[in-house]
Amino acid sequence: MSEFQELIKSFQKSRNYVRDFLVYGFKSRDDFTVKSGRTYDNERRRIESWLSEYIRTDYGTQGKTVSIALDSNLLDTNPLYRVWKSRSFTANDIMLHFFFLDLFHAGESYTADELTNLIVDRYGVLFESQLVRKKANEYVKEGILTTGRKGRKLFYSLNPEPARSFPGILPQLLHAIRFCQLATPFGFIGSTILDSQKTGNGIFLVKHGYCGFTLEDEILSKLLQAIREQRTIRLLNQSNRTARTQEEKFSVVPLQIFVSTRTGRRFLCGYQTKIRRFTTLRLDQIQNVVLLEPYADYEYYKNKLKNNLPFCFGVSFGISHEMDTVRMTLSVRQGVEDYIITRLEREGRGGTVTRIKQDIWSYEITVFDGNELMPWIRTFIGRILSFESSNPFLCRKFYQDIREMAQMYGLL
Amino acid sequence: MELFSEIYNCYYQIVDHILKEAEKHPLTKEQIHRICTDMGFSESSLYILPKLTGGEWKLLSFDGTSFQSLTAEHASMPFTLLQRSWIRTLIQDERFRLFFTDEELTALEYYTENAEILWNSDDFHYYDQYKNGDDYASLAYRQHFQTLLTAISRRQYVHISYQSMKGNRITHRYLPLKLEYSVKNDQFRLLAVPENERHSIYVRTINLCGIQEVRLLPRHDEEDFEFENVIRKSYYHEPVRLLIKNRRNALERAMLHFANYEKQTRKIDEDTWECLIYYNNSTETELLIEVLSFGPAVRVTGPENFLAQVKKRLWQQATLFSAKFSHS
Repeated sequence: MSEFQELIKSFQKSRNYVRDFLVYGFKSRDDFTVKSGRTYDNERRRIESWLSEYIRTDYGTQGKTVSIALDSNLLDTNPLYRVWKSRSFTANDIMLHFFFLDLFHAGESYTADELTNLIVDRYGVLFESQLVRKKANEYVKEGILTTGRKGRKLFYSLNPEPARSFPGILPQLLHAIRFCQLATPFGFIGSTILDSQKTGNGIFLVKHGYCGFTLEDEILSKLLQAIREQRTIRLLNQSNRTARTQEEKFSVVPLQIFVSTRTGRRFLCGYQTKIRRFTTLRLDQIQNVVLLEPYADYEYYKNKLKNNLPFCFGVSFGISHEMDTVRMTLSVRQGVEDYIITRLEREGRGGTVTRIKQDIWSYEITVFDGNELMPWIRTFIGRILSFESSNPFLCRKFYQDIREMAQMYGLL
Repeated sequence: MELFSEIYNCYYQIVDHILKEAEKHPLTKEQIHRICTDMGFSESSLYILPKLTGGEWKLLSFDGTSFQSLTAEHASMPFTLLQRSWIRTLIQDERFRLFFTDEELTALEYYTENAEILWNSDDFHYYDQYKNGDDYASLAYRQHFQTLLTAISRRQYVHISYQSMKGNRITHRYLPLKLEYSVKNDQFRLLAVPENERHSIYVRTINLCGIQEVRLLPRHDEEDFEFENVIRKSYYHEPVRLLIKNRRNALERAMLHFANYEKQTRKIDEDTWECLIYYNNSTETELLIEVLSFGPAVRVTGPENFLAQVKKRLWQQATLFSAKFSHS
């Protein structure tokens, strides 16, 4: 049996456990059935180690449950970035890393053979020249080292330190990074800059941020590469739309990433050539992405999506060819409740807001899938005078939900 | 250019710090242990310490009492290509541009010109973000933002004139504490305390788009401001208690939706879960309408004050529909 390690080789394996602890937090060991109990124990111990100050353990009828308790409004960085900082490495990796930083510190340049000899002389460690060259080439790819030729010899040297790479603007740059590491895609990268500059963030907070998004960044990175290169992709999706979690593999042309600022979800929007439809897939459910060949009609579908977007209230393109028109009228006391009008205009995603008469306003929109409006419509409970739709199902559902809610609280 | 790479590993950061210290003066095993404990994960010292002091990672030498670094003066890590690519990509983001002058932005573009762009702004579609976010391109906005940034960094008081939500012009002296960005509203807000209420637990929120004038004052604050403690003190003792029935996939939707709040969930029976959500006065209305958006799949059971607000809105709604309900 191998010894427990804090560090991991694959991000993917831990990703789903961290997400379960963060999003759900009520599952016990017995609920994790995909892998063995021993795997659960190791993953739990690792997550407890990475995120010790955010771990909450409870004991109930289900047994022990572990959750990650975060108040994202108060965080100066995303604690889940620590998962990104847990990649395993070998003794050679870490020694060569610091030997390189030491040997090149004053702007010297060396060949791989010279480096090998210097490492023996200065540190008493003997590496094969091939190994040193391989690591140096890796560091060239990472942008840490750079190469130059003198005659036929290839010399390596260190790229300039941050203060010399960004002369005069490093302090402002670090402020911008303090903000962006919390608020922009791949914020993890920004946090590694703050780590290496030995600084943190005491200035910015982000409200309505979802820490769990970072767990999808490896998938997101491949999707963005495919979008950039206009390629088809094959993906493995783990959907739980059915009672049993199902895995499905299919090809799609990735076009855009849809992000919700309110529901904690991000989606890939793409064109599924087989069924000739736009489709959206949750990023947290995509398990693997393989880039395939460039797609010839990419620009055509990109434009088609752009033209369709005004009719998408959320992420659905509807299941029928008929559009849904939804209209509600609201009671709004003018001068006292004007913030409701502001809400309709700011949150209504292009719907028409009209004053009908004193204290009565209407909101109307036509979209692919009116069902997506329902949660938002319910936020106006208490002032809805009428609800109408071209889709009779939505009308029935709306009034039935209100009735059921009123009954639930003993008001009917 | 990998995202998941050992060069960003927490252990590398720890060893970097240990070597920087040991290059200046010898370190004892206890000192090395303390650095591991302070900077690492909770079990990191168990792995790092034996490898570093036992010689598997030949980076330190031992003279019988203390450890010296084998490195003489190792350099700081340069920005990697991935880090430069991320910065280059951000240059197109209006919020990132707020931090710089036009000349600095030109310099930044020049310094990162060889890096690849990781995404374009239209690769992302924020479909439920509110319209009318802040005008980041406005010169006045950028100046206000930069002045507040300077004031917070230096803990310096400021004089602010701003337009309140009700349209009144307010002028006051404040100690600025934090700049808060709302993803949903696409707006920055200043969190501050008035100069004469320095020890109050009531932090004021001022929308940056409403600020008309901001000036640095000579006075600096000397005391630490325990921001998180102050905000936590403002939280209600009792969390909102929700019962979630797993219909229409409500459990998963609710768990994701409320993932940005501190919450605690437990299973009550085969089909029902109880979720506790911690909140304060400033998030109460927002939480209330978020809960209502789930319809009958989510039921509030407490606290009394929150429950009363839910019932009041539903009672008003049922009254508006009384004719419809009495006929069906």
